[in-house]
Amino acid sequence: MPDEQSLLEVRGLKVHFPIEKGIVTRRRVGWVRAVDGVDFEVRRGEALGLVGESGCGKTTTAMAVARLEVLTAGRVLFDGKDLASMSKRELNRARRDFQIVFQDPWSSLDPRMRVLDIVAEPLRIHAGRGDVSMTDGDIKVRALSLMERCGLSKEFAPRYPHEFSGGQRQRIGIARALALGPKMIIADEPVSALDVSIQSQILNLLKDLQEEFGLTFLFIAHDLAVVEYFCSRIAVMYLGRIVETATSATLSRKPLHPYTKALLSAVPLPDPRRERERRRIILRGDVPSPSVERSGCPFRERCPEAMELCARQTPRLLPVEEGHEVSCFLYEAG
Amino acid sequence: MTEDYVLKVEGLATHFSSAGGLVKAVDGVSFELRRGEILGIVGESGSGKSVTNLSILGLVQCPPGKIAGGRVLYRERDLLGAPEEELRALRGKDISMIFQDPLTSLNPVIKIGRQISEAIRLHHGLGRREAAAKAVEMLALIGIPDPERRAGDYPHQFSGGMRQRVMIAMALSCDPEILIADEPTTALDVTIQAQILDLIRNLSSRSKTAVILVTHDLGVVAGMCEEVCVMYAGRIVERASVDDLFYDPLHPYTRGLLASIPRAERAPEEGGNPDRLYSIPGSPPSLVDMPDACPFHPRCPRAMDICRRAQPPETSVAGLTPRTVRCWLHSGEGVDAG
Amino acid sequence: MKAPAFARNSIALSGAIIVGLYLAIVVVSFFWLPFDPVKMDSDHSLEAPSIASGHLCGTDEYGRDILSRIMKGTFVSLVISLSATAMGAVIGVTMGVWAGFLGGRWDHWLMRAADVLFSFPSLLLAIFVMAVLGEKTWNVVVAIGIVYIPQFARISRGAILVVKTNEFVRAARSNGAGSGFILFRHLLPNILVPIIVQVSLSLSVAILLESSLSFLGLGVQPPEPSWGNMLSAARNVMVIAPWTAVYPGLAIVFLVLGFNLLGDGLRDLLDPRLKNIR
Repeated sequence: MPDEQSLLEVRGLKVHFPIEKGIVTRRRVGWVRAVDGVDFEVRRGEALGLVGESGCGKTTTAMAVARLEVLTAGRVLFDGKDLASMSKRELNRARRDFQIVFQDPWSSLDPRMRVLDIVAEPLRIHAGRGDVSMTDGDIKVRALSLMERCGLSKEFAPRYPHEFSGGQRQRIGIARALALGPKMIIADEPVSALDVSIQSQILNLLKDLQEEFGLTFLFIAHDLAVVEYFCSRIAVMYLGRIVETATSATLSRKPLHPYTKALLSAVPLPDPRRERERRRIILRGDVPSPSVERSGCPFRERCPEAMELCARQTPRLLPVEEGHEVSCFLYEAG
Repeated sequence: MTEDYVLKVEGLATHFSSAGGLVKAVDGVSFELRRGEILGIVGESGSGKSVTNLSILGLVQCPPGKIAGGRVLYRERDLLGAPEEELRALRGKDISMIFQDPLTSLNPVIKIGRQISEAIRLHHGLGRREAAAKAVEMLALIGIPDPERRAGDYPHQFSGGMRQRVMIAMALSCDPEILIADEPTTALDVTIQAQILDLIRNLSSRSKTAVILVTHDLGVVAGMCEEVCVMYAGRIVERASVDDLFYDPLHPYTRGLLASIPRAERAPEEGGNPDRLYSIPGSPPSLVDMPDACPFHPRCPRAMDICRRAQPPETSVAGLTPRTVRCWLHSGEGVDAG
Repeated sequence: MKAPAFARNSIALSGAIIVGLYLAIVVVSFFWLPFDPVKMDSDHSLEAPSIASGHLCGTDEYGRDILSRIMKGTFVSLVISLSATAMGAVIGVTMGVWAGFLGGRWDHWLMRAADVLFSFPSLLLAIFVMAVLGEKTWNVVVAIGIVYIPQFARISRGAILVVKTNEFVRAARSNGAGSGFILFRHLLPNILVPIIVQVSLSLSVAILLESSLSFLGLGVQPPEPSWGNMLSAARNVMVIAPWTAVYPGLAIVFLVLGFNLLGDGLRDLLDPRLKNIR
């Protein structure tokens, strides 16, 4: 029974990419397990952060939720309906309700299109299919008003993307994401490519929009500080799995999973005294590749608290207390 | 009274001529680096921090660049006027530099072991076998497992973090007096960043190497540096010890930056989010044909009339260590010193 | 009131003027030529250029007016180079876009096919095709067109692969945009530039290829004049009558130059970065 409060519910999501070799004929030699069994939910009006380092699968998870990647397994319940089993027609109609803000301000805008057309594009695509009934005049008006709402003056409408700075381009991308009046925004590292002083402007804008339009966010980032600021709940990912889910406050104060602890301790704080005092957990080795077959807990090779059991079995994501789930044998009773 | 300075930069200015006009990428930068100290240079894109480093080592492409003024004193010599052969002898041996992207700094078709031993031979004159042995030693020192075998691998067979460690090893293999690290961890994951910064700190304290660490990340600065310079539009707007900078920032830009960083561990009780972050309005200025005024004034919440009309001079202020700030708020009439 | 962009770009303009001149010559040549280009007149063979005689470029060994023959040959050269380039571009770009867009097996096999064609030196491949098809003028178009297919395929596939990874493609897909929409609205406009450059290069090389083929006797057959077969005929008498080679040669050089300038200029014009310069 889908929870009335959750706008998005993901169960058992897996995305595996085949690895193929060969010059004349191609054979599959293995799999990249980018997402390997992920469960989470996002309640209406909240912002859930997906954090992790490179190769953890957070972006692939987001793209799979948006049906831009093929799911190998799992269900994606958006507003109660499974996106993974919809027909193309139904899916396209459903798409109006979730939109994406992309990471790279340079490649997310078509350099040959004028800004107004970029913002209006989602409306035009859907109108062309009959899912949206607006005249082109209406569409233009809406696009202009969205641009202004995002801090871009009307004069910018006929200009091309290259005439704008990184921060402004992200604003264009955000205006585009709002065009259809979606319920949920999937923000894929929306501020990672921006300078610090611009990051806060864009984060503030997103917050304002969240309040004004009652938006729900799936917020992907590698910067923990940004996620802890913006999101009310956070899911930490490692090698295609979620290792811990908690509210921002709980995660920063009482992290349980060894990886979460290491991640938090690695984040540099702009506070010299605390930096001098803190005891850093330095992990050995590199961030691993999701294409190598491994047994047991994905983190055991680098875990400072690994036990013998961790090599033999894979821990499940289980609740430890209200609203706090961990995937680690240290906390699994019995 | 002579301070134990290993590098002294005075009024460095580097200009570029572009189709749009004159770009003053570095416009009067001065700082000193003490022996064994870690100095941070913080700035956003376009602040001139990278060009400053390149200018010190004479690596700026001239033309279109041009060293327009200043002195860089190293061992009593002004590096800015020095001939290329002299600079080349210094580079890698006495003053080393590492960059943000180790993939493009390493030769992809030469094995790692050989690249390191070449650097060692070049500056130490060791024989081939000794240099190769020393290279393996270095790999072990920086924490590369199975160093003998790995010395025979190519750069692409190493991960980003490992490559950066190799760069650091190469840079420090000759026990240089100065290491210039230009955004060494920006492209790395945060747990790897912690490893790398740790390595830089340990290795440099072992060999008493002074480090100029250039970054945009104030957190990194807080954890690594003793002294910090904040750059904006080609100028150093504030220079102070790390504690002074973070706990008593003077320049409005520094204050704005510090206020606009979202901080982990500042989240309140009910997993909620505090109100809006402070954000500095506007965007960094174009460096083309900058007028003679404070470059930050259009975005400054405390801009005064004089800020529009003249550039503030660098003023000394009281602090835990000698500190300066370039701001009219602290340079009223009569309060002016070099 | 600013002049239209095209006029402001002097490179494109000069290219266009040159090519326009040749086009004008073609049109004129249908109605009027200084002399009959085919009629032989042994009394006036190998006459040096002179204004008095009316033979501004002199005559060849059969007494035919070289200028008239050049003018007549312009039509042949232009038609052949434009058609061959068009054929190669249409087929090649289609192949390349298909391969780059679809990836996987399509990419694999289409590119292997292109590689096979690519492995032949251009002229050799053209000669081979002519040998198979016969020495008719239209077959020259086919021969050169075939030579061009792999080049256009390579270039467009490479360009598509690069553009495909841009996030604005994902943005359109995230709204259910179909492959057709993405291809025509986003991908093709963004790969125009390298294709245009290739087109201008191909136009000029086509002129040279056609001339080479005619030079070798495989292209346009005498007495029909082509710049290539004129050069071929001039080989024997070049030393004593240099004008028989110089003027057809110059005709080739200037048209090639014109196409190159036009291509360069168009490439700059189409770059949206240069629009809206306030």
